[in-house]
Amino acid sequence: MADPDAPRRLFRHAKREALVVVIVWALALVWSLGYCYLRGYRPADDPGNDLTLILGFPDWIFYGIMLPWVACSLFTIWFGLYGMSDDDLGAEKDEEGHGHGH
Amino acid sequence: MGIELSAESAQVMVAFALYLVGVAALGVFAHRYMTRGSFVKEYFLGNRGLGPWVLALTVAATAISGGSFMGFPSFVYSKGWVMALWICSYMVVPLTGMVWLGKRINQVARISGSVTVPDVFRDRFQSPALGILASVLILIFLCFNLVVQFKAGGVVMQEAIRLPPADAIYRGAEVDPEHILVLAFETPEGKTLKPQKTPLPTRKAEFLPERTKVDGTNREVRVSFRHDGKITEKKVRFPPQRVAIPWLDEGPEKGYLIGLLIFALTVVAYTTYGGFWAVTWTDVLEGLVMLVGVVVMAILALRAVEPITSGGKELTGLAAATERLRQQDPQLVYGPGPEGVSPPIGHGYLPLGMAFSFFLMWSFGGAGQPSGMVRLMSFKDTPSFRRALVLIGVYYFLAYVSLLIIFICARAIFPTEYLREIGSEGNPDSIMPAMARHLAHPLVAGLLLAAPYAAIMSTVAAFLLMISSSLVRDLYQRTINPNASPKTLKRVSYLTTALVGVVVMLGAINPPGFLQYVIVFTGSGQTCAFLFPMVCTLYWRRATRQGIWAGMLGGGLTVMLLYVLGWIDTAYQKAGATGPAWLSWFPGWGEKREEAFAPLYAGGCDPLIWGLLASLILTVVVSLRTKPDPESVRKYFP
Repeated sequence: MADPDAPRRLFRHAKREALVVVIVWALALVWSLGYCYLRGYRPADDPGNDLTLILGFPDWIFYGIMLPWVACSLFTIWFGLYGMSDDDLGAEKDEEGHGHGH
Repeated sequence: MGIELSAESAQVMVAFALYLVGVAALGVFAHRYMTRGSFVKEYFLGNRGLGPWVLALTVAATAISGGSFMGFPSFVYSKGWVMALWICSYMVVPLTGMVWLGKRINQVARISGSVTVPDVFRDRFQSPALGILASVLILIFLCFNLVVQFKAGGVVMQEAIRLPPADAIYRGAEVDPEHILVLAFETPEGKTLKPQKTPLPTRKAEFLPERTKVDGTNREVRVSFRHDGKITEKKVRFPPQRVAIPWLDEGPEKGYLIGLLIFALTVVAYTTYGGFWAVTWTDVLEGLVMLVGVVVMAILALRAVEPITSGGKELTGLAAATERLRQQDPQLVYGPGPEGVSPPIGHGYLPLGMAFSFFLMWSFGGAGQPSGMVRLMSFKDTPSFRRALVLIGVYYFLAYVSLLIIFICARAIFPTEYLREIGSEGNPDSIMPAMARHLAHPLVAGLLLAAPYAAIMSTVAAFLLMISSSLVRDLYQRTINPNASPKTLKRVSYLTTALVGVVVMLGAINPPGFLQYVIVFTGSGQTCAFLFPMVCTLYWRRATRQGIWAGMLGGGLTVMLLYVLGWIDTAYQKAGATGPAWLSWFPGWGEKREEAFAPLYAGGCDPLIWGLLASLILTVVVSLRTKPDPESVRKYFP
């Protein structure tokens, strides 16, 4: 028999995980936009002679985008492998007479 | 009508054909596979049986559309490194696109037996009208999108085929007041053809008519200019071969029409035949082709950039490319990026408000589009879901960083060749096929070209299925004929999918331009209409039918309104007028826009921001002022 608490547990887990993602999303937004705006935006007539490269990327792209991107990807991998819980999704509602639960 | 092909094009076509055969084989396999369970659920949803690899690749392949492979590259090529900021919210898209709604939408869909996104709204609130509203909104946005995607598919095929120009006779050239050289041609029978145009290399350049050479065998004219004491030569091809269509003044190009026909036939045939499983299996193939294609291309591109010495050091690869961009124009390596084409629009390409808008666009768009939601309704169990999340995280990182690198290198390799304002070989939209042909042997180039084609094809197939599922499931089965037999439903499903495909193809024979704008319009329209209403439907007990109605309609209409106002304003500006006074107070009214399809950017932000705000406020406020149905709350909130 299915666990009667399973649906409630899934709802609680889903809410918690969505909240974690909101926090990661907000951090990424502040980091990327903030860093790039402060360090990478120049007036149109700036000659740009002091451009520093890191692995071929302009430094502001490296710190403002590549680094958080790598960080987010690592977090995503961790979250998918260990951070999220497994839940019972529930049985399929029988519709046309050929029900099949999971 | 005969078709002439060069040897190189023939090889490209062979590689392409091999790829299409693979796709067709998968379609047949999927059709065989489709035997279990109810037809409708199987055809549109794959019986909720997606494992991790299939789920990951199908989500990625659906999200990465013609825009990512045609529009985005042309922007990177013409705007430089700031495009990394434009696209960077893809770093969180695997999380936002899957985790926000994933588990819960799958659970709710199982409780109610929902097959489509409108189903979820309709069942959760016991309101057929809400389901129909959702269907209609999906239909409107997706039809717009499909026409443009079909166009992109046709253009890629056209590049692969590359028909030689028409047989014509050169009749002289002159410079028009806008510094564009206009070359006149006529057919061997003496009928005047549409002239070919090419901008002068600089505004001060002088055209030298006496040095013009006509090359009849290659069907091109070589024209010469003098500027700064130097003489430059430029090739202009004869006008393209065209096909006469009775209801159009000027028929479409033959190469495009053939490309469009091949594209439409393959996509429509396999989507109709195989349904969800065909789309899903080809997504898997296409997802892999795309990833391998861009990664290989990125490696080839890095090796193709010529080294450069700067500050006593020899730079190679990406560093050389970035340094070359800096020397061309420092704005290519800094924000906010170069202005649009003349006249200047004033704030650089990506001012902070727009950078913010695009961060929300991709990260919310991944979650808010029904084509993505329906994928989340179809996974098998949570271990599959978690593993798919990991795969997508890696996938997006590799795909988008590779795309950035390829087209930064493209700008270093072709400094001006594909820029619209200087004009010569082509426009920025063809930079992707051009790079593929530049970097690799024609056989490999054919496979590389299959990547954007795959991207477009999988998006189109998914959308086609969304549209026909809206019509068959939401309108026919649940509204018009609830007692339809499985056999009838099957026939109606095949017929609708095929019919929608044919109608869209007819629309794409003479399509609008502005590829990227239309894709952004339909993406943001759907996100504004569906994201917050869906979040509230799934997570908020207090959400009511009326609240969802208001949020959905308000979000979608706000986006449409801002686009329509933009078109009206642009039309007034073209006519040299300012428009009615009661509209001129509107924020963003009267600003210059790059293209006729561009919307009103109120407050320096994309319409998406205003649509999301409207949708959120309306959903919450109207819900709080009405009462939820206790029965459905008990059913869906255990």
